[in-house]
Amino acid sequence: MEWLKLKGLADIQEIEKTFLRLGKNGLDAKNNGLPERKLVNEIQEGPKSFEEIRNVLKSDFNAAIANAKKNDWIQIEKGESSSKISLKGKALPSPEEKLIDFLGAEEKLLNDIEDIDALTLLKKRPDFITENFTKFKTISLSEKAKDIDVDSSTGAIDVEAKVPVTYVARIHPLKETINEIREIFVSLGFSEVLGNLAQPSFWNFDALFTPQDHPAREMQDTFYLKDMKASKFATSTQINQVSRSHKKGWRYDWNMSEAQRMALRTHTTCVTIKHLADNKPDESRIFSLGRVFRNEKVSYKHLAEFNQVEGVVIGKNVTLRDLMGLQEEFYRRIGLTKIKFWPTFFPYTEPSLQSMVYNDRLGKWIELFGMGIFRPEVTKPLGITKPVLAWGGGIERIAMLKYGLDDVREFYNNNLNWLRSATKCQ
Amino acid sequence: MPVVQLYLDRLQKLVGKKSNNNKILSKIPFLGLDIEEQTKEYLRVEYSPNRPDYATDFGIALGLQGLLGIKKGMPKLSIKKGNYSLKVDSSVQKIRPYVTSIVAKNGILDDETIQQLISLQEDLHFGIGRRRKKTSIGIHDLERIVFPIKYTTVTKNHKFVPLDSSNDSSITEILEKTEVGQQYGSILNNSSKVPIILDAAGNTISFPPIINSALTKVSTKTKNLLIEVTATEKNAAEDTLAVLATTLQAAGFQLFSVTISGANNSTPLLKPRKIILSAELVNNILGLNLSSSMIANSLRKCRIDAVAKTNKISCIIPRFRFDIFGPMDLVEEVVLGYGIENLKPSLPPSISVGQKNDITKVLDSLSLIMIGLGYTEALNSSLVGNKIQYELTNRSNSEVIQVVESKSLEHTILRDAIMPGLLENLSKNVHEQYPQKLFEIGTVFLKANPIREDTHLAGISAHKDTNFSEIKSILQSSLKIGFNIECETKTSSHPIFSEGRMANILVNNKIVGVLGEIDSKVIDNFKIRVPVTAFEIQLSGLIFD
Repeated sequence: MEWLKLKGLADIQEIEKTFLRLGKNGLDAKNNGLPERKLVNEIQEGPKSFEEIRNVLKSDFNAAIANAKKNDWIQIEKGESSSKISLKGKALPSPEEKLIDFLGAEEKLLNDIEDIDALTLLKKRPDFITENFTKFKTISLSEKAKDIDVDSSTGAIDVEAKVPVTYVARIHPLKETINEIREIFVSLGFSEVLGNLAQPSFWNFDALFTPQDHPAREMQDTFYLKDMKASKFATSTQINQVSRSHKKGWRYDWNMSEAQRMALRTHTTCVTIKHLADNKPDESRIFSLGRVFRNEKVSYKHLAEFNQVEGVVIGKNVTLRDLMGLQEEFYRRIGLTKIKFWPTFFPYTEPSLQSMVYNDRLGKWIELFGMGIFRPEVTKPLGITKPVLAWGGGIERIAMLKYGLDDVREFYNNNLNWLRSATKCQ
Repeated sequence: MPVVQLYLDRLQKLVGKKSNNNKILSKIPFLGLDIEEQTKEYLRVEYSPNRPDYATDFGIALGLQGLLGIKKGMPKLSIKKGNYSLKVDSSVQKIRPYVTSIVAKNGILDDETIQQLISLQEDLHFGIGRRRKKTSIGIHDLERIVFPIKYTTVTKNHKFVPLDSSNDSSITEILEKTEVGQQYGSILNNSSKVPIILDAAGNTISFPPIINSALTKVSTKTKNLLIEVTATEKNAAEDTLAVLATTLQAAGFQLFSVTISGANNSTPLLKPRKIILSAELVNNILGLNLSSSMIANSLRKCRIDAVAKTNKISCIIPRFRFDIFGPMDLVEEVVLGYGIENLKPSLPPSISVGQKNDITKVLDSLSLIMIGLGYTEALNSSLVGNKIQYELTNRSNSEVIQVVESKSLEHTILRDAIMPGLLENLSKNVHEQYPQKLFEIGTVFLKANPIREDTHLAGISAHKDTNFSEIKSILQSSLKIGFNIECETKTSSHPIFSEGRMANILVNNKIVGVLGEIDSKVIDNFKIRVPVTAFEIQLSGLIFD
C-alpha cells in the first residue's frame, strides 16, 4: 500500500473514528433506570420523606435528588420535622434516558449521536460510557492509476520499482569477525584450546612472571571474585618453580594465598600458558579465543568485557622474524596490507613488538596485535624448553575497522536496526 | 600507561647539535614510546612502566642520542666523593630498614625541569616503589641542611612544618588530616614509632614515606640537591637512586656521594653489571646472522657498553637499567639498535594441521540452526548488574558471584542466566519492527568450589501472537535437528514466567532448562508492549561434555 502511494498510484486517507458503548453502570441504568427515575417511581403513589427515600436508594440518593431537580420532576416541601418529596408533573423521559435507549447494548459511532450535551452529562457519571478510538485507512485509486489500462496489459510489472526491505535472521557482526579470525588461525595450522573465564591469579599472573605486588594486579585493573579462592589449580612442581622464579627475579616473599585468588581473566594468555605447561609440546601451534575482562570505566574506546585471540608457536627453530611473518600473513588474510612493527613492553615477553596497521577510513596508523617471545623467567619454571612465539590482541578493534564503527560499545547494544542491517566496509 | 610531555625545542637541545626535529620524531616510536598527541611545540608520549628513566626528557634524550648515533655506549655516572654523611639508627629496622642518598650540585632548575623531576618521582613511587610501599623518594634543597644527618624513628608526638604548610604539625595530625597521610599512612602499619630524617641542627628533613618538610622545599632558585630514598628492600632503593642520579646528571648536575653507615646500610656504589651474551642466542632468536661486532654496535646504540669477542659479547649494563634480567632482555636491545625496520618478516612453513575445538564446532552448528529458525544472534556481557539480572526479572539468588570494586554498576555480578540480558535487548528495541526473535549462546556461572562455568543457549520471541506452543516448537526443532535430542516439557513454576504457562525442559528425565510465556509484570518492568516467550537450556553435558 505504501509502495502504491509512493508511486502515486493510490490515495490513502487516514481517519480516526470514535466508538461509544454503555459501561457497566450504564448497562445497569438501561435495565433498572437511572437513580432519578427510581426516585420518581418511589413517589408515584404520593409524597415520601427524605428518610424513606434514602433507605431505598442508598448511595444513589444524592445523585437522584440532584438530577430529578435538574429535570424539574420533583418539588421538596420543608416540614417541621422532615422534608417531603413529591412529584411535579409527568416526569417525561430526560435526554440522558433517551441517549441510553439509543445506545442500547451496541457500539455506536460518535458521529451518529445527536444530543452531545446529554453525552457530556452521561460521561461525567462513572462507568456509564466507554470510548474506543480506531484508526482507519481508506485507499482509493489515484487519477494516475485510473488511467492504467489493466485489461489490455501483457502481465508485465514494473520491474524497476522499489520493494520493501526484508530482514534476515543473522549471526552477530562481531561473531562473524570472531569466526573469520578463528578460520584464519585454523588455516595457518593452529589448533584451538579453550579455558575458563574465571581463573586463579596463579595462571593469570604468577605463571607469567607478574610479581604479586605489581600495580597491574591491583583491583583498579583486575576483577577479583569476592571471597573466592582456588584450591587445586596447578601441580606442586609448577607452584614451587614459579614461586622460586619470582623470589629470584623480583626479590620478594611469594605468597600462596595471593596466587589462589580467583579473578576474571585479563587475557587469554592464562589459557595458552597452562596448556603449554601441562603438555610441554616440542613443536606446536595453538590458539585461544574468548572473553577477557578489565576493570575499566566503559567508554567509546574501552569495555569491561571484550574478546581476545592469542596464537602461540613453539618450536626449536622459531624466530622473531617468523613471528613477524605470521603476523603479516594474518593481516593479509583479514584484508589489512599496510603494516609496520614498533617496539613495546609486555611483562611476560622479551623481545616484544606491537603491530601498527594503516586504516584508510581514519587516515592513520592504529595499534593492533602485540607479540613477543615468552621470557625464560616464564618458560623455564614451567618446564618449557623451546622458544615460544606469542601474539594476539582485542578482536573488537578489528571488527570496528571492518564495520566502520567508532564506538566499541555498539557491539553489545544489540540494536536490532543495526544487527539487521550492518554491512562490512572493509 | 604513564605519559610524559616533551617540548621539542628542549628535547632537541638535550639530544645535541647533530639532531633535528624530524630525525627525533622518526626515532621516538623506536624507543618504545607511543605518541599520544603532537603539536608544533610539544609531544605527549606514553612510555612503558619498566622504563622509568623515560619519565623525563633528559632520559629520553639519552635514548635518542644512542639511536641517532650521536652518543653511544653507557651513560657513565661520575660520582665525586662528597663531604656528607648519613647515619642510620637501628630502630628503623622494624619499619623501613633502608636508606640511600646522593647529592647533586650546580644545576639549573627551571619550571619545566622541576615538572619533569616531579613526574619522574611520581612514576618511581608508583612503579618500582609500589605506591611508596617499597621505596619512596625525597628531593631537598641541600643548602638548608646541616650535616651529618640521621635516619631514625620518632614518636607520633614529634612535630615539624610539613611541605606546603606554614604550621607545625604532629605526626598524628599529618597522618590523620593530610591527604598524603590518609593515602599512604597505612604503609606504616600503625607502628607507634615512625621513620624520620633529621639534620645535625635537629631539624626534620623528611617523614618517609609520607611527606618532606617545608624547610627543604625545592624552588627555581635551588642549585644544589639532596636526594634520599627510603625502602623496605635495599636493591630497590639503589635502583631508584640510580634512575634519579642518571637523570640529574643528564640534566647538568654534578653528583657527590653521601657516606651512609649503620644498621646494615652502606654508601651506594651504583655499579654497572656485566652480562655475557652469546651471538648464537641473538641470531637464533632473531633469525639473523649478525657478527659479534654488529651485535655489540647495536647494543651500544641502546646505551649499553658492549665489546665483541669471538661468538660472545661482553656487556656492561648501567645500574638504572634494572629492567634487564638476563641475556634475553639484551636480545631485545639488539633488535632496537639494529632497527626493527631492518628485520624482514619470514613466514615459516606450518608443520601442523589446525583445527577448531570440538565444542566450538558444536556451538557453531547450533548458531546456524537458530538462525535458520529465524532467530538473530545477540551478544551480551557475562559480567552484569543486579537490576536487570534479578530485580526486573523478579528472580532472586542467594549464591550470587560478585566482583570486588567494579568501576561500573552495570558490571558487578556474574550472570547465572542469559534470558535477562535478552529481555533487556527487547526493551531497548521496542521501536523496531516486530516480530523480534533473538538468541544467545554464552557462559553462565555458578558457585561450586569455587566456581562452575556452563554454556547456555537462550532464545526469545516477541510479537503480538507469540505463545507457549511457538517457543516449545523452536526449542524442540533446535535440539532434534541439530543433535537428535528429544525433549519433554513438564509443568512447573518460575518467577520470570506466567503461572500455568511455563515448564521445565527435560532430557532423559533430567531438567536441563526452562521455557514459557514471560510474566506480564516482568514484561512491564522492561517496558515491552507485546507478549514475550523464551527458553533457556544448559548445553554443557547435553550436546558436549
